[in-house]
Formats: sequence, structure tokens, C-alpha cells
Amino acid sequence: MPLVKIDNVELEVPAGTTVLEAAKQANIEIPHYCYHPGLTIVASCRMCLVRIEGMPKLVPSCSTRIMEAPPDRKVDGKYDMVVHYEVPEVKEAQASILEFLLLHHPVDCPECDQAGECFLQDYTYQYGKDHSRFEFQKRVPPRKDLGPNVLLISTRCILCSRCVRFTDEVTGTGELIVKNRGWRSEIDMFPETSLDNKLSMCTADICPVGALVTKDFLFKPRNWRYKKVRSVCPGCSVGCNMSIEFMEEDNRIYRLKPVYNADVNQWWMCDDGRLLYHTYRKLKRLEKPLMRRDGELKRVNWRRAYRTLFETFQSFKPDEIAAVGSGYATNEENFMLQKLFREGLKCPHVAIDDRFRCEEDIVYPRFVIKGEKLPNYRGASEMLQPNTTFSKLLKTIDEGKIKALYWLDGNPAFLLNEEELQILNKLDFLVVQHIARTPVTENAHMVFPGATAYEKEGSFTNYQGRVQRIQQALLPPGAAKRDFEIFQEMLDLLDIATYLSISDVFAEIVETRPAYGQLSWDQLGELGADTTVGEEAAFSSSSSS
Amino acid sequence: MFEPVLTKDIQIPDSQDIDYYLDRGGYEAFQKVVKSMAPDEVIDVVKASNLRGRGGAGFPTGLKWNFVPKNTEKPHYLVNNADESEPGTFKDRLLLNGNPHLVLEGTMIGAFAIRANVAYIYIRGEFVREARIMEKAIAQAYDKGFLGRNILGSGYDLDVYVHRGAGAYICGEETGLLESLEGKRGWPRIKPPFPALEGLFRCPTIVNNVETLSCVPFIINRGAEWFKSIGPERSPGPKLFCLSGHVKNPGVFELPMGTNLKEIIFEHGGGLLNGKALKAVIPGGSSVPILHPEEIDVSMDFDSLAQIGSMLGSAGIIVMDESTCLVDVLLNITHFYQHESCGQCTPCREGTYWAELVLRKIEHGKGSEKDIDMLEEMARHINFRTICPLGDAAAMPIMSFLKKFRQEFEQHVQAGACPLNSQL
Repeated sequence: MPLVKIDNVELEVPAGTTVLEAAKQANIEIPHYCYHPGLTIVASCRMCLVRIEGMPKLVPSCSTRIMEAPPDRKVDGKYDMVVHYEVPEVKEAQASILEFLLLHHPVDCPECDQAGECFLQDYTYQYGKDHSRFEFQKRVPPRKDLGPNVLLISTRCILCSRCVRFTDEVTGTGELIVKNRGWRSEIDMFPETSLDNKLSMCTADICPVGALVTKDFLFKPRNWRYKKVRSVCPGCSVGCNMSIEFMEEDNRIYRLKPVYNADVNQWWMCDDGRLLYHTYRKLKRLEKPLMRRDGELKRVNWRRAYRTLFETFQSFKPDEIAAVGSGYATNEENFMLQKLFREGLKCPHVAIDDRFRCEEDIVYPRFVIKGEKLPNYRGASEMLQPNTTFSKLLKTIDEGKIKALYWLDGNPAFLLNEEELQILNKLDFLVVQHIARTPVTENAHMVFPGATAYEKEGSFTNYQGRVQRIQQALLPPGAAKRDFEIFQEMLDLLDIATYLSISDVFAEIVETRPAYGQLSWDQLGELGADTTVGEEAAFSSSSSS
Repeated sequence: MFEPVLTKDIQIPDSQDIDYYLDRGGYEAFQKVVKSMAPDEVIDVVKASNLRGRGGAGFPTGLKWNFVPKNTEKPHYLVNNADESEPGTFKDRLLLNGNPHLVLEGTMIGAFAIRANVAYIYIRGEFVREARIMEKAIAQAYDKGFLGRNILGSGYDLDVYVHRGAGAYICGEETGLLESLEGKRGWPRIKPPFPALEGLFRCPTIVNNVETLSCVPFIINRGAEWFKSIGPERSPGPKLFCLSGHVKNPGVFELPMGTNLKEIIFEHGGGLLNGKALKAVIPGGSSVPILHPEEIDVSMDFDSLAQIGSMLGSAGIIVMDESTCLVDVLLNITHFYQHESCGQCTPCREGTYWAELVLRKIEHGKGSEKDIDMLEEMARHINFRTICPLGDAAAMPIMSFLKKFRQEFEQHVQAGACPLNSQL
């Protein structure tokens, strides 16, 4: 591998690595605007210029690749490339580029949503000058309403062209263009078009300044006021990694932003997933456990609720009981549910809820949004090992064979029709563990308030079989509990298992679910890990038994 | 005695017609090449001739052709760059106008040499008449069987297309041209990859200037030795010099490469108008460093001008007499580059604009010493820091004007007005 020296750091990198990426590995952050690892390299902002020995001019580090030098052309007899970064010439170039970039910039940081996470601001502090020598009229191009979710504040634009390349390359929709020439250039769209693809808000993420802003995050509190938690989007079976930005004071989410994961979502996330927290926020949340007494649902304390639950279930024959798990719940929750019913109540009927929104996949050149609008159908199915589905179960209920049902729900949309509701009414005992008030919870005998994906931890398995951790940002409302806790308490009460943490549950999953046999909770880390599939899984199952 | 070849027949009204051209030995070189030479033999002859690109950079043409990979499955393209737009330059236009078949024949031989079956002539958008003339010339060549399938029974296929630019100087830069030819914005590409490996539609492509390709038929007909015998051996050949400004006899002069600049101005150009004294000369189009009168005793070839810190460029010689305000000239030049900057790279996009404003301020007598220093600094920050040479083209005049004629800028500042108040 080529040996490169950047200032005083020596390192070996694979041939073809750019100087900018190599510097990053050497913990040297070379400032840049137009370069984005997910887009074509254009080397136009000129912020990342460095001096390379043997080259006549400063060169952009984003586009200059490190290659093996022939033996007679190695610097000092051993280096394939020698890069000077912390030198006056480079610093001076950086300052000049910043001065150029700020010529027309309104410096409206106090009212800009990007302040605090703006590369123009950051780099100007680090490398720039504290005043501008530009004494002429600044150019004031108009703001543009680009589409349903994105606004362009053109005065702040530094013309890095990231957004244009994004719509050209990632979505292939090509809505954005550079209009005009030279200093008159501005980002624009063709007449009668709109930036309304499903990934449009990513343009605001990749905008290094405050030019492209999402309407959702317009004039919200400053970014440094948020707590940030890394989690996984519950919007579909892709499982985009995201950062939940929320405030503890009001227990509210202010923004969801994609986080890089090479194997799942790269740098991107769809607008639907990003705005999904509004859907959850608008739900009429269940805030306390409820029990039907004298024909009315009334508040009950958790301990009493559990006791009544088991007493009632035990009054049925195991064959008359069924449990339904959900692709909205985590692997651990589904696992605990089936364990509770199979081991605790010897109940043979474990179903998976097959009612969820399913659309066509949306396929962009470099991104796919799955049509299965729930995060963990695959995982739920692998955990539950169901012998039926909810749809089939409804028929059995209708026939009167199933008399008591425990339904772990979590779907923010209510999808049952009147007829199906009537069938559920035939049950002698219906327990629903859910996040929102629905016609079903209104008719249930017991209701357990659970948590949304933003309010709990655990793991989801995406459509490809990648297991990823979700983490808790918000607190569940009122007396609602994380679903793990509900099952934890019930399993403990029945003396079936005592789980101290989610990882205890996961350890048992690893033992009992061959596809998960190679995993461990710690190994999931931030990026997740793939389950084994096919023959490999079958082999490990036979060898472990 | 030097005999002009490129422009010999240029004044004759019939010179645009293929029959006139054929009567004078036209297309003989092409026929010879297609019928009896291998592509690599053509490249070898051109290499041996030491022909260097007439577009401005002076890169050896044969060497460039040799960069085209010999065994790719991709198609190759030849592009004749007729986007002549450098201020002070008007030589290619003359050839397109007066000798279109020579331009075409050179293009065809070049295409054959690099094994291209498609060639484009990318003509500056404003050259409406020239585009029509070239289109007519191409149609005539098809009629005579010089273009199309299986040309003259040789098995070689070639199609030539005229493509008109849409009015941007930047599309004369070879990679900007290729983007434009692909139907995109004329934003120059980063190099490498060089066009010879990845050019038009990511296929091997050679871009040559009109005048460069026009030399090729003569090299084929008369041999590399003949070509090398004209002018300095390292950059030989006939050369078109565009003379403009305060001279009695402006125009295009075909002279041996390496003709003395003084000779061009005072003999061929007849000296300065109205007996005024010479103040400065730009030897190679508006982008190259300006020369002081003391520096004009110089051979007009790539190497000699580089030695004195300037460039032959496009050989657009702009002569300025003592009545010229050089601040105004620089303002004019800088305005041009500001207007033509594509806007891709930060230093060029913002720097050319800012520099023009500062220059205007100085020209109007509102500037200060600080502004002059700042202008110099700005040019330094644009120079060599952009993707394509347009940034350098904007910066070089500023740096050289300030180096050689700083006094004049200071006079503006001190007087609070333009002491000359004249127009070029």
C-alpha cells in the first residue's frame, strides 16, 4: 500500500484513496464544502487545497488520489506522496476562499437555522478572517420555495452544487439546477417544477450552509439545545439509521436526521420517515393501564392489572388462548411475548399481525424506500415463530374456538374494518397492549399502554436481515411503560424468566434463534449486524443442538 | 522567402468551394492518408513535424494524438475547437470563412489518425455565418465521397458534424467544450482523467484547435521536414498572428513561427497610428502577461515568450499607444473574465467580480493604495487555484499589469481621477 506523509503523520492507505480521506484517517480534518462522500467529486469549492510535493500548484485534496509512486520517484526514498497541510501557504488559501465565499453572504447567523452546525460559520471561526474587505453592494437573490418540504434562502448559498448532484445522482430526479453564470449563478429549478421527491429533505442535510432548510425545522430552537440519540427509523423495513434530536424539558422531538450507515441507508433517509414523529405525536396516546369494570374501562394499577390478567387467562383452556405479536414491536418484545404465552400459559396459538400498510417500493438510482411500512416484520416473524397470522386468527375467533386474546399492537394507523371489529367483540377476554386509543382499545377488557419506537430500546431486523439497535429518546407518556418492562414484569411474576436488561433477552434470542446465533448484543453496536441466512443458519442450528 | 499556405487563397471569393479547393490539390493529403497510410504513420509524421497546438497552450499535437489508447472498445472522437473567443484573437474565424475545406480536411486527417469515426466541429455560437459555411463544406465533402461509409473504398468511415456553441467563452476550454457537446452546462471537468482517455461521452477524445488541424494537410503533403524548416525547430510552422490595437495596418498575418514581435508591429502592422509612442503590447490574447515596450524584441514562439514571462497564447497581439489608460484596459479585460467565469470554482467566480469592482473604483479615482495591494493579493489567490485556466487567465493580466505598470495605478489613486481618460 502507498505510504503517505501528511505533515508529520505517516500512514499507509489503499491506492486510490483521496488525500482528504487519508487525512481524515490521520485525524487531520481538511475543511471542504463541495466534497461529499456520497456524491461525484467536483473539486470546485477549492476549500480543501493542500500542497503536495512535486506538484506545481496547490491541489484539491478531495480529488487528488494517492497512488504508488515508481521507486525512483518516491520522496525521501520511501514516501509515495508527501502532503503539507499546516503550512502558511495553505492557511492563506483557506482564508482567501472563505473571504470569497462570504462576499455576498448576509452573515445572518442570528436568524439562520443552520447556526451551530454550519460549516461556513465553523470554518470561518477556524480558518477565516473576522472582517470582510468587500465594500460593495451585496447581491440579494430571492428566496425560493422549492417544494413541499424545502426552502432555499439563496443569499446564504455558496454554490457547492451538492444539492444539484444529489438530485442528479441519488434520486435521479434532476429537479435542481445551477442557473446563470459566474457570480450570478444561483440554485434554481426549471419553471413549473417542484422539489417534491421522497428524499428532498436530504438536500438540507447536505447543504453545508443554511441555504437549503427544511420547512419542518424552520425557526426551531438552536441545534445545540437538543439531546441527540442514535436510533432506527420505524417508518419502513429499510431501517434507516437516524439521530433523534429532542428536548428533555418538553419530552418532544424536534428533528430526525439520517446518520451514516454504509450497509443500510448511507447518508440518506426519506421525508416520510423524517416527518413520522408528527404522526406519532398526533396520536391519542394511552397513558395508563385500563381494566373493564362494570362495563366501563377504568384506570387500574399495573400490579393489579397483571394479576387479573393471569387469573383470567388461566380460567381458559390453553387452546382457547392466542397471542398476537407485531412488526412494530422490537425483537425482544416479540420474543418475550411468545415466551410468556408458550411457556407461561402453554398456549399453542402465536400469531403475527399481518395488517400493515403495504405499498410499492419506491426505487431511486441510489436509494430504495420499502413499501412495507413497518420496521420489524421480519424480526417479529423470526422471534414469534408464529403458527398463524392475525387475519387467519380472526376466522378462528369468529368460529368461537379462540376465546381470549392478547394483542401486542403498536401500529400508529388503525386498519381494522367494522366486520373485523365485530369479530373481536365476540372474545370473552381481549387484552391490547398498544400506544394509542383505537376502537379496539375502547372495546377491550384490558388495555396496557406501551411505548413508541422513539420511547424505547431494543432491536429491529430490517428487510435484509440486518439487526439494528433502537434507542430511547423520549419518555413514554404518563404511566405508560416501555413494552420490554411490561413483559419483564409479567415474566417475572409468572417466574418464567428474570431479565435484567434488553441484552439478557437478546442473549436468549442468540441461543434459540439460529439465524441470530452468530450475533451478540455488544456486536450490534451502532451499525448493527447481519443475521445469517439459509444453509449457514441451518448448519449452526443442527450443530448447536 | 516564406510562402503563406493557410491563408494563401483566403481573399478569393471562390475559396469556400470544394471545386476550387480540389483544383489546388485539396483533399490530396486526406486521400493519401486514407488510401496508403496507417493511422499510427500519420501520428508519426505529425510528431516528427513538431507541430504544437495553436489554441494557446502549445502542446505537441502528435504526442497528444498518441495518448489515445490503442486497444479500447470505446469509440474515439475528434473535436475541432472552433470556439475562438479570446479577446484579440480572430485567426480561426478567418480560416473557417475563407478556407473551410482546409479546416475540414485537417479535421478528417486528425480523425483518421486517432481512429475516430465521428468528428465534431464545435463552432462559437456567434459565428453564424462560419457555421453555415462549414456545414456547406461538409455537405460538399459527402457529395464527393470524402465522408460517409467506406470512404474511397478504403473501409474507413467518418462522419463530421457542426455543433454550435450557445455563447460562452468557457466552452472553448476543452473539458467545458466536451460538457457542452454532451448537452450539459459548460463546466470544465477536473483532470485527470484527460480527454484522450475519457473525453466526450467518457470515450477517448482529442480536442484540437482550428489552426492546428489546418496545418496537418500541409504536413502530410510536404512532409515533416518542410514544416520543421519554418521557424524555430522546437515550435515550427506557419503561424497566424492577429494584430489589433493602435497600429496602422491591423489584421491577420501568416508568418513563420518565431517572427520578431517588433517586426510584426512595425513592418507588417505598419507601426503605430498617428506617430504615437508605444506603451504596451499584449502578445497572445487578453489573458497573457502584458509586455513593456522594452520587451518586444522577442521571437514570437512558445518558448521565447515563456522565457520572458509571457505566453504566445492564441497569438492575439494587442498594441497600445501612449494614450491608452492601462487601468481601463485591465478593467475591460477583467470585466470580460468576470462575465465569462462559469461560476464553478469559488476564487474565479467571486474573485473576478470583486476585482472588477475594485478596478472600476481605481479607474474612477476612488481607489487607494490599499486597493492596489488588495487587487494584487486577489489575483494571487485566483491564479492556479481553479479547475480550468480561466482563473489563471483572469489573474495573469492583473498580476502583470500591476508588476509592470503599477505606477499608472498609483497615479489614478493619487490624482483621484484617470489621468488619461481615454478608451482603447
